[in-house]
Amino acid sequence: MPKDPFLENAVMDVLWEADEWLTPRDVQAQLPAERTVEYTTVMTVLARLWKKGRLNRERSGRAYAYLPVRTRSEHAAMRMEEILETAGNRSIALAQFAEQLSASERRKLKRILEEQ
Amino acid sequence: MFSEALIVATVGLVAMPLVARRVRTAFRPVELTRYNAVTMSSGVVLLFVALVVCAAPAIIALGGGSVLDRHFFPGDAVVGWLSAATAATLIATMVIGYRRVRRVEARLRIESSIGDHFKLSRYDLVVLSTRQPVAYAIGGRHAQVVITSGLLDQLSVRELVSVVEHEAAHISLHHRLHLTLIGMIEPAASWFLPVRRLVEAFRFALEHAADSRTSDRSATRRALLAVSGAPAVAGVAAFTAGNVIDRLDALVGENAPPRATTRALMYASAMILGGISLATLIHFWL
Repeated sequence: MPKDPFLENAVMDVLWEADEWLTPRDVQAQLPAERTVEYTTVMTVLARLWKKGRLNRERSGRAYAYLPVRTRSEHAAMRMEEILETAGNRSIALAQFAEQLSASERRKLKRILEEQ
Repeated sequence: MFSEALIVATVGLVAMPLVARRVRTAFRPVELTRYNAVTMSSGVVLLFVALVVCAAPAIIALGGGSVLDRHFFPGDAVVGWLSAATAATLIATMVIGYRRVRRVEARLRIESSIGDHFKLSRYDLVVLSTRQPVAYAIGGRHAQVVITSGLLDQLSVRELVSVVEHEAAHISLHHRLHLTLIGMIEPAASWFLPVRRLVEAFRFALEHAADSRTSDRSATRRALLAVSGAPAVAGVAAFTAGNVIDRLDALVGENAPPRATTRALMYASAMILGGISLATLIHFWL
């Protein structure tokens, strides 16, 4: 089954809203009406999220019940850190950037700035 | 002689973006990206075929077969096994690169629970609340242009509009495919300097094309200066991916018409190199 990050987000939203252990049946029932998803799909998505370390799980009768490892805000903070780390630190000022240039590049930059 | 000609021609094709960068004013910005993509990808494919053809005799000899021998380049075992090793390394590098690109893309795609999302016609504009000035685009079916409140603080409205226009251009020009191609060869850049130069030339062309699609060039220049110096991110189109000086230079000299003679020479060179590669392969196969 191809990964659908939007379905994963929708499932996580349901779990965060509920703030309690939910089985796949519970999650399926609470997904927004416009998202009609098969029970087995929900089960697969929950298992995938558990393998990714985003959910805890415990036995609930014949099924598993799931609970997010982090709160929504903790997850947002972690994701923000991940995004900024991946996208790079962009707070380098022009002066610092200019210091990294060779002499010819600096001359070229000076000419460009003078033409502005 | 034929095998040497084939290798030289295919490597020459792969390296055409390096030459194209030096004569970039011969091309229109978007045309340059397409030229690079076609020459490099066809060069890589032909190079791989050439390596397989050189490696085949040695590998077939392992199994004791000789039926297909006449269709492949003659060569001793050293050439054969070297070609096999190079082909295997090429494949492994490209698979590693491809998976890294997809991983980075997944990490940088912003889920709906984070930031503010504004649905526009071709993409979602996502604003993240953080002091660091960041701007990048993620292509694909659910395209996103991501900026931060730190960027909003640092730039004027016109500069910000330029940044968003630049990122949106990466999406409308389908640069995701080009970035995937770059990402697939990028792992080799860490141990092979010419590949690093090739990647830089390719990235410059993409950023230059996106710059050319902004409506206010001087605002684009100012924005580029304001947030310059950031490293490139594998597989993602980001506003400040290297090549800052060349991009500034290109924005200043934007109005010059492409040089027809140089352009014709570049296309002719690519066709000759491609033709030599194909002709050599076909000649030996027959």
